[in-house]
Amino acid sequence: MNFHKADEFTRRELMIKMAKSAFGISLAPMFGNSVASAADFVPNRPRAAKSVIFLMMAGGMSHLDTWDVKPGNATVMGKTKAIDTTAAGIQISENLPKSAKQLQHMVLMNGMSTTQGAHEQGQYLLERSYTMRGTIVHPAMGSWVMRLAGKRNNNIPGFVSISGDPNLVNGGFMGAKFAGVPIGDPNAGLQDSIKPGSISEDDFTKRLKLADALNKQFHTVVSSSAIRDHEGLYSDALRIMHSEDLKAFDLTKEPTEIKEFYGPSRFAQGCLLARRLVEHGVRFIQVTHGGWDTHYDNFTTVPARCKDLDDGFSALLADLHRRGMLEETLVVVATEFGRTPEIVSEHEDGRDHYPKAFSCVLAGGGIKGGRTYGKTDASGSKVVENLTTPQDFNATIAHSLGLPVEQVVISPSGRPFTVADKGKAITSLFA
Amino acid sequence: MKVLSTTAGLLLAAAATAPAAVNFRTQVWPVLAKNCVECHRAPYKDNAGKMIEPKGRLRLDGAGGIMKGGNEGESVVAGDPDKSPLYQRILLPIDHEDAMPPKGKGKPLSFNDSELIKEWIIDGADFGDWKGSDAGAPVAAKAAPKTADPLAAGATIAPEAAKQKISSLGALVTPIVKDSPLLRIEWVSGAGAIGDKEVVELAAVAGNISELDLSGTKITDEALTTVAKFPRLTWLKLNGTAVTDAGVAKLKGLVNLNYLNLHSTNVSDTSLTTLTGLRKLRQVYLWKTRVTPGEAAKFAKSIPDLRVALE
Amino acid sequence: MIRATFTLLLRTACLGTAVLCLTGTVSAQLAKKTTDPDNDPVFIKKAASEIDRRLANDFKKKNVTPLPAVDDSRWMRRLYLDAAGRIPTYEEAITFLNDTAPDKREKLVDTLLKSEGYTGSMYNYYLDLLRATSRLGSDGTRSGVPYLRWIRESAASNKPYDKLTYELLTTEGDGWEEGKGAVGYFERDRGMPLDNMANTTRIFLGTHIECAQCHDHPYDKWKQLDFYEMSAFTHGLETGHRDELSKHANEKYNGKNAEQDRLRRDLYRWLYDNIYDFGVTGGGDGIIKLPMDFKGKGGKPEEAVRAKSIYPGAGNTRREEINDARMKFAKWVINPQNPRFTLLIANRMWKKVMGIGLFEPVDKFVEVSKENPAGTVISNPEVMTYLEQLMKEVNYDLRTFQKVLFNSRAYALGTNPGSVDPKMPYAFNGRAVRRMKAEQVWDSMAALVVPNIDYRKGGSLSPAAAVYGQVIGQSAYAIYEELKKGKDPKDTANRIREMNAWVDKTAAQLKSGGGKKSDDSMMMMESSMTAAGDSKASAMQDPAKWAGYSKAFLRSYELPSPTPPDHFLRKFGQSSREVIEGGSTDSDVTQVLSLINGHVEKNIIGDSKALIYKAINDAATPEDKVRAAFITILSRQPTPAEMDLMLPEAKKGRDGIKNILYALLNSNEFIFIL
Repeated sequence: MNFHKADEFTRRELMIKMAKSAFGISLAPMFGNSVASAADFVPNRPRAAKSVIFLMMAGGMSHLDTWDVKPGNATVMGKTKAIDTTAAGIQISENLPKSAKQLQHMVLMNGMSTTQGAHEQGQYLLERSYTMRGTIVHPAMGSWVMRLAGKRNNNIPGFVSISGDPNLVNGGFMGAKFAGVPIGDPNAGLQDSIKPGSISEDDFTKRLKLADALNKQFHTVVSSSAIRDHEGLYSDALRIMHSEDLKAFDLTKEPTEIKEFYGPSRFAQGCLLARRLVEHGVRFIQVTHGGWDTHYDNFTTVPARCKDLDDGFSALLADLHRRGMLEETLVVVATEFGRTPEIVSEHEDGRDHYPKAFSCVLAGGGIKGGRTYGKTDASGSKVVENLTTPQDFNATIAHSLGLPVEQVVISPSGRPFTVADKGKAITSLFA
Repeated sequence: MKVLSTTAGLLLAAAATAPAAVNFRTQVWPVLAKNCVECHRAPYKDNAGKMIEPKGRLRLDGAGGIMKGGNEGESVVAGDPDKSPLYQRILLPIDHEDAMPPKGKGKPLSFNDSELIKEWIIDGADFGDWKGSDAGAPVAAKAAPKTADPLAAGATIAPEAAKQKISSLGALVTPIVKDSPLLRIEWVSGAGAIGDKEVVELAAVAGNISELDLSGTKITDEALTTVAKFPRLTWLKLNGTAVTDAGVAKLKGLVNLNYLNLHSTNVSDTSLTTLTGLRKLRQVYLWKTRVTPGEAAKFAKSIPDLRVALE
Repeated sequence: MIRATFTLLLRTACLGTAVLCLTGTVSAQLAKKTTDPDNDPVFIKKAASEIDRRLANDFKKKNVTPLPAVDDSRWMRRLYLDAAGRIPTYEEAITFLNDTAPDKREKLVDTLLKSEGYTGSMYNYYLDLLRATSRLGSDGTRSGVPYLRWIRESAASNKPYDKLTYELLTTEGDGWEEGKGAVGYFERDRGMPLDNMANTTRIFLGTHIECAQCHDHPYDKWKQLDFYEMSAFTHGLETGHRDELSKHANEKYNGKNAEQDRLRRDLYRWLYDNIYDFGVTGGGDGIIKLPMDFKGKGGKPEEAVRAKSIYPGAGNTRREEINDARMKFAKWVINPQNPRFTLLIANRMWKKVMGIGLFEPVDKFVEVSKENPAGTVISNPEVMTYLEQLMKEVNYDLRTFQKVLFNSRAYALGTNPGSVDPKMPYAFNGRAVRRMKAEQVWDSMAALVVPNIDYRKGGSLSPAAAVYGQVIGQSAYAIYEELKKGKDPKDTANRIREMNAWVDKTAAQLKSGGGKKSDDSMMMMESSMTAAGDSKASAMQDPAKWAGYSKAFLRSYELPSPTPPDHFLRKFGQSSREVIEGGSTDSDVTQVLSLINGHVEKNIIGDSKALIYKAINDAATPEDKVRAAFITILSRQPTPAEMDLMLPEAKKGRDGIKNILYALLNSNEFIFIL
């Protein structure tokens, strides 16, 4: 399995395609096959995870006030207190009491460290495993998963982003067909997924046929990859519309008691939607919860952000577990960097960006829980054991899914890339 | 018409003005072969038996190696000779520490040769059909350490036709892991249309089925008669179906079963009597069933390392 | 190779004289221009020709042929989208296409550049560039309205770019005072002054220095010390604004009714957060302490360093300039001798008009150095040099600058028939096809429904804002004025009763700040405050001409920044305003679902009052109806084949017409700009 030049267009190929369309070769992609492929993917490890739920804490989640508490060190802990968990010898912050009861499923990755201390660059590196450059956009993690493992369910999107910035989950050089599908409000579901009653079936078909004809003519004038991508999405859209599996996006189909089990916040409902999507074979679901950039007033804001995280995350783990889904679903809690151990009193006790040491969490997906991996010093300032980069982290996610971590994909500009750049999967985390 | 001729005209114009593209095989490769490959090739044992690695871990004896680069990063950026060390370094003065070939290891490339490489890069670094040393390609996925799966012993590869038939029922049929004859069968979509009749079709690959997901289907205990005949079954999902204790009783011969999911079914403590005989069980899911906590706890203790989830 | 050397020489030449050029007052730099290039057609023509001449030379050198110029239809559609942010209406299109005057193109450029649509486009452009938002703070509790108002006024008055930049970097005082909204530039990054400096360096100087905040840059020449020396220019700024009102926010009321007191306190708190706590003081210390964990070369942790620019010319601050450092810095930034300032804005405007920059990305210019032997490639250095000269000649008047570009032959060249990778140098021998930006899609569709859409102001009222508007009856400015003058509402019984009634209805919504309803009321309130500030009118009511049209149909520049995550604009890639120029024109399946099942059918085709139907209803024959549809949506006449295709539908009546409109709106030609 060496080169992958499958879908990329070299300039030469483009000229050939142009010539073809100039000669009026029929292009009716609106009714044709979807461009997204469902690879016959076989994992390279047994009982590999089938899906990933990636909970993105955007803004830089303070590690000391969440997962990496230092109970003996009041100077760096400020107002935050530590509590016991269901894992012997492990304590976390009082801000996450429900999660503390689910520790047996988790590994706390307390040795995270990144080189990027700015939001845009930090999120880029976390999302895409490469540092941001001006010359190329690397694909998002979910795009890699789509590319290497394909969809499990051809009728609905395989990569979904709930409540996050759509720009963060674009396909980079892999193009729009590998991008995450953005959902704003989980309760609104997949908007516009049903043909409006004001259009009859006949007219609906008629309209798209007319548009198709117009496009055929347009192709003789100009044909770019952006146009082809755009057009290809029409068949994806039609497929989704006619799929029974659309109900995956419909939270009203969940019993009230389950909705209450997760909690009322948008994030918690997003976690519930993520579980439903996994049940319908969606491979990669990212749910974003923002507001973690606590330069100001850290000790009021962090508990507030933690409440929703705690509700959603703990409910998700419990729900996946009791449904027997946790082994095959990897749940990730990640953030782009941590926050300073030093508390800035002039900013109403704030904490600034701190890339050198921070925490993420892995659960399910074959992970053996109830422990930590990676350690910081007594003040949470330096990683002293098992330093984990975002690339290592992503390689571990890939390993959980049984993906070929070293498989090379060549970009349209001819450069080779892998899913986690030079990251090394931490295989000791798995059962 | 008008549009056609414009486009065709463009193509002609492009062809007329562009110089003929550099051919890697006939023009560039000889240059590399002569000047570079001696040091930048596959690892080899020298006369003393010592393994010699390619310099800078950069292999230039294959298309893969050239594009992958080495310790110091990429050697070629398609379309951009200014960013391609392969070209930049052969231009450097002989005394420069980064010059290629290094001083003493070979003569600097002639102007013609370096221009060829430059033009080749500008044209997009296309190898045409040349691959060179295939082993120079980036390392393929390291196969997971092959622990011989005892369960697979004796299993033959399932016939394509049989797998196709099952796929046509809407099932996703995949090997459980790379290179394994054992299969996983599930209905990610359309489970609601599957019933006892369809399950009978699975018997065609009875010896291969290791993982089976029948959750959310319309099966009854009847289907479990068929399922009971899958000797290599290790993972079975029956949640959200109409199976009962009577059906579970049929599974008493599935000695390899280590995961069983019965949440949201009508089973009761009675089923535990059957299950306690399956000594390889490690995970059993019983949320939203009629199983009582007391009995569940007893059951969990009855098999070593068994985890039972009631909620 | 030669290109890069030439560029380097030019830069060096500039730098040599930089030191001398810092004499002269700022006012001299910002003085009124002595000539009036904007209204001088000869000047415009000459400048445009010069660009074309230099491009033609380049075509020869590169051995490329310029593509044949586009016809009126295509040119007109391009211009409307690039200058006014939307497609032309049926009337506008017909007028232009039927005009036989030989100078009709120049006239249209003039007209559009003076339109509200142009102002709005520039406003949107600045919002993206500056990440300006309607609400500030990580929890969005503070109002950013004065900042948006200032940006809008700057766009409307065509404020020269150097003046705009200077004001952004140096404004001091209370943000709600007239003309001081620019303090929003620092308020946007409150608590993150170092990030703010990194943004400044990126936007105005084209250097990505943010990596050097924590360590010496891994692959560029910037050191961590450089970063802190730059930050020293604006260090010590204080954001927020202490005022009389603050003591009311924390006051303990001893009134008879505890609930009433609490509500009043909430009101003051809200007013404080939204009106009073918005300002900037301090001139910039010019000196900064390196952080505790500083590890770069050339400095020690906690060492105090003086401000120093990463570009020669601004020099270190002298002792007496402490507390005035940011003025000094700003003066240097906008100095015409600054090798970056003019270069960046000239390239940005080129990209705005032509679609691709002469170098990309437009906010990053890397000089040749040991770490970067290649440096940034400028696809046409001769044109770039001329553009820098032109920008200075027009005294940074961006409208005039764009006018020159719109009048060039380069702008009228045919469309390149294939993909153009904007990351590779481009010859500009043709136009690269681009998908419409989110704002262009939304605004074009809005123009199909609502007449005179450019002038329709935001200000539809939610119940909360209605109460606010009715009861208070004034704009935010007026309230502010009243309270500032010392009029204490505690003494005005009526006032108290009214305010409490309002607070009664809205305090819960304002405090929760998280639910959908609250978002709506916030959004509406912002719109109402913006509009109120503009017109100083009391109640916000839709003038009659827009009665009956959905209130959702406003142009993008009348909506909050950014719009809520579920809004059409966000779906189609509008920037969330979290990162600089963070918008995207990538397509995804939720956009297509909106085009086939959502917005198009429900709000455009489904609206029988939509403007789109006027021309069609006026058309007598089915053939004319087809023509009207094509002109309205694609700005051109149908081809004979297309007429054959659509005529049967047109003959069917209303349903058939809808089919035609829907097909046109879902065609690639609608959303991709040729």
